[in-house]
Amino acid sequence: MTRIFIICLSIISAGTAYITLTRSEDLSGTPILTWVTDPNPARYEQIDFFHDWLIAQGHTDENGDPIVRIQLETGGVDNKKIIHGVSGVAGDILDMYNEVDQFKKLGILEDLTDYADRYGFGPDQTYDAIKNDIVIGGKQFAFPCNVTSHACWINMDVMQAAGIDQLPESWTVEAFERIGKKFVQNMNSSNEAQNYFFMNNPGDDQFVGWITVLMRSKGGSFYNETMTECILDQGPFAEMIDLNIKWIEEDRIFPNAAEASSFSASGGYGGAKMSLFLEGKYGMINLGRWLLVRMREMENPPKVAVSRYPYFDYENTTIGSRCSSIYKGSKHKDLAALFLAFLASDKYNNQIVDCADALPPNPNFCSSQRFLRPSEYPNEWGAHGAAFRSADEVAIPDAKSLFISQQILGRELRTAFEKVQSKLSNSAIASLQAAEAVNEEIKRNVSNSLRLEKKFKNALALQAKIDAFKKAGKKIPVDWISNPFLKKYYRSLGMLEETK
Amino acid sequence: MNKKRNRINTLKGLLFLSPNIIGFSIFTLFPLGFSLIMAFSNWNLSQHNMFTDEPLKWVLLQNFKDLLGSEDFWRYLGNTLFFMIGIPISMAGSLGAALLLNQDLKSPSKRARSKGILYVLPLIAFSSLLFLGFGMSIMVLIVTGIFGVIYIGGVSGGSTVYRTIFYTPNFTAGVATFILWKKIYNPQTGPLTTITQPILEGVNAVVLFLGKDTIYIFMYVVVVLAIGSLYWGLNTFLKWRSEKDLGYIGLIIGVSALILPSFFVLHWFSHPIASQIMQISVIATIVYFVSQFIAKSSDCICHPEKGMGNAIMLGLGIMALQFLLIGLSNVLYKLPEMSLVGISSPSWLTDYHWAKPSLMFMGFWAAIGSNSMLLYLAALSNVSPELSEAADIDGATKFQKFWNVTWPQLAPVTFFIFIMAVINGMQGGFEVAKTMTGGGPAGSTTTLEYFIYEEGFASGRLAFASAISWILFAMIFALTLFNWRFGNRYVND
Repeated sequence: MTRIFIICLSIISAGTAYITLTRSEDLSGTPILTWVTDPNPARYEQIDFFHDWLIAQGHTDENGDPIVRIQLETGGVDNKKIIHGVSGVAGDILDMYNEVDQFKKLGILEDLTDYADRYGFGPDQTYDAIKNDIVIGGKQFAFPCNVTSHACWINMDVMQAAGIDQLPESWTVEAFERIGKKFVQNMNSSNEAQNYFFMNNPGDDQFVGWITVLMRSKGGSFYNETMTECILDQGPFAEMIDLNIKWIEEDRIFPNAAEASSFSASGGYGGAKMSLFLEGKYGMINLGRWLLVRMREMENPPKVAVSRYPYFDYENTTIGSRCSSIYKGSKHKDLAALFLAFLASDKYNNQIVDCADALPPNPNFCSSQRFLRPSEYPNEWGAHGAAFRSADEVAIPDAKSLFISQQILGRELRTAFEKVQSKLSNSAIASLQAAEAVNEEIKRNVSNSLRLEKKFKNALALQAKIDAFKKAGKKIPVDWISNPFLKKYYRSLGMLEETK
Repeated sequence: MNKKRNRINTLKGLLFLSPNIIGFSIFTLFPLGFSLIMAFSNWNLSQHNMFTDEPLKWVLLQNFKDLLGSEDFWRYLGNTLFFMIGIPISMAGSLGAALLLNQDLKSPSKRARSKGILYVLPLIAFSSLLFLGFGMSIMVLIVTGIFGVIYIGGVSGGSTVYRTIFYTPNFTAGVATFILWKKIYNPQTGPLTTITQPILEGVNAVVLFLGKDTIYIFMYVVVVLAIGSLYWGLNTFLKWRSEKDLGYIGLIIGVSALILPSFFVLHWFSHPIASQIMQISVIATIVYFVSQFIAKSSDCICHPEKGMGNAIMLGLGIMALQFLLIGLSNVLYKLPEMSLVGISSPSWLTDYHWAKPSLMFMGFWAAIGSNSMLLYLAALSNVSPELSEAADIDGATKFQKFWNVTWPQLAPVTFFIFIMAVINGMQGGFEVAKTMTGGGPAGSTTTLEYFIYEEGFASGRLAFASAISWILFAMIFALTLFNWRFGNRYVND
């Protein structure tokens, strides 16, 4: 037995030594950075481009090879990234989806302000609406890999089959509903079970964005001006829940959750709903431009167009980005900064333009013919310009409170919707419960942190002043408002006093 | 010399054990102790980690207070307990499977009988499928084909083939089977819907034909059966008690399990008259038996823990039966109304009211072919054949033989399986909820384990998650203590 034990131990030790010694980094001496991102096939090409860019920029070793290499880690869901991050073992470059503030709160992101100055990837290189996301407290913590502004991507082949030749680029909720009803009526007239829907189920992963836009178009916001309180119960959230349930259950322009999951469709990048859109089961889908990555893999892709999200009174849409940042615990921060510099380069922006992985980080690249009318894809010519205009003209970033995680808010929004859908509650009560749950969480977070408590007190004092100004009908100084939607909305209503 | 040798042997032993001891200490013992300490703090990942300087605060029992005052905690505990209602049924399934697999299929007479069935059963199955209008769809062919292969394999290879097949769920990766079940529950193309839809359409036609009043008569029959099962259970306890076979501890536990469904009737039952009948009957039954128990208490003195195992098993079994009957009577009440708009298969996983039972049903499938079945098989092989032969000589029926000979012999393993199932039930539900429902809709499939994950890793409140874990531990520990205290006595009962 002793011998067997020693033999086993020797084999394991030898194997460990072999693996350690034969790691490519140790052999070639070239540092390898880990990029924690999504499983988009375009990432492989982007890595090759980065290596080429390094050579072109002269960042090479004595053999003319790049001074750094990138390896992908594509299984990095948010929770895993957070756990790895706070435990000191995350990848060197972290991708985040509209969550820079959350990761910054964890303290795991490197301050990039100096690197950005040195390598030229400052906030001036991207959309104004994104600056809020990447610059926090005057310091830059990330740079966008791409920018997504959600819109309705339309399968024009299916629309035409339904007798709808054209859809407006901008439409009201009333027009959206009317056209939607016509679509399902025309497409399903001969079917016993409904197989065609105007759009995907809104309760899916885009739920928060969809409901945000609809709410905002009626002047509703998740938070108050200083984002110290959730005001779901005071705004049109309940009304929007009812409206979406009506669209699902009465008008049948969206499938219900069971129908959405019941179509036989493959998963893959973009999930099953994209398969259903490409198969023509859905007339449109609420996603970003990156859906084209998968569509281009088809032999005969459909003709596509883009309409903005529908609105009641105030047209708007969401804008967000997949941002890259450098992990504070990385051993190669200088080299990782080169990757962020690459993200601001012409080469990378053009690659995003070409591969359609959402919008390029720099909006200047969206006016070229290369972007608007890609020669290989004439079926997309009606879509690119509208997708960009939606992002450029009406997009407003999400309101993110310092005092609570967006994930919690999303969870409560979804629970409220599901409660009403399951007939467990009415929309007013569900909204109130959601608001109470979020406010309870804010209270708990604040009471747990001295730093937050101080900020919260200051914000509350400011909120009191804002409330007093509103009550008195006086114009509110713009700097007092941190909620980006309310800032823009109040400005449109002439309620703000601009800083001189 | 001997002393030196002993010391060397001890060192060698420790060397062999060291990987385990080190691994256990680092990966289990330390986190366990650490989580206990942190449960009294305000540890939040977003505020307290290696990159932040926010000081940790000791909040003593605040997390526990918040938890016990949280509506979510009680709801998710309720969900967890709901899933555990299936334990007696799963155990009965495992026992049934073990009894079937314990049959000697290779004996000549049984082989001949099996071969006979081999030819008849597929014919009946195919004819039924065609008669019910399933046609020759791919799914029907696949399912029939699989059953055919299993059947022929079993008949040719004997019980070993069946044992292997029955045990398959246990060594198949959980997530893979969950995804498979997700397909089975597909509300439009899943085999469950394909099978149930024509049946439901048939039921719909029958309900319309019979009319509301006739269906309500069936409902009252089911209500009577539910009350009858309660009566029978209490009467059995009374009998055991008067025969001095049941101590008061077993009596209290068994009666508590029996009357538990009656409390749910107040919330669950929709039909006002049937509900009143049931409540009045249940109260009358309970009052009658309590008075009987009290009246005969002086004649029934025996050891307090005597017969506890039987009382628990009977109590839980009837409890599950009562829940089923109450559910069925509710369904019968709703049927006439439902049949007017057409009865269709539910959205198994996306309907608030169906998601939990659907997951529970899947749990039966996994539990029947689990380690419990293996344990029962092993225990059955230890049942003394002499006792069985003696019962045969006494002219016992098959059921009497099972109830009086086999079942008592299975008592130790039954008790072990029950306790393990309860522990696993309290700790379970994460994988299945994460893979199949995401804890929804509206939290209907969120269990305590999933709640811990959500609080710890989605909200980042690790201290609060630790507090939930320790409350869960306390509940499981109480059950384990119960096992230590009473398990051996039951085994020797």
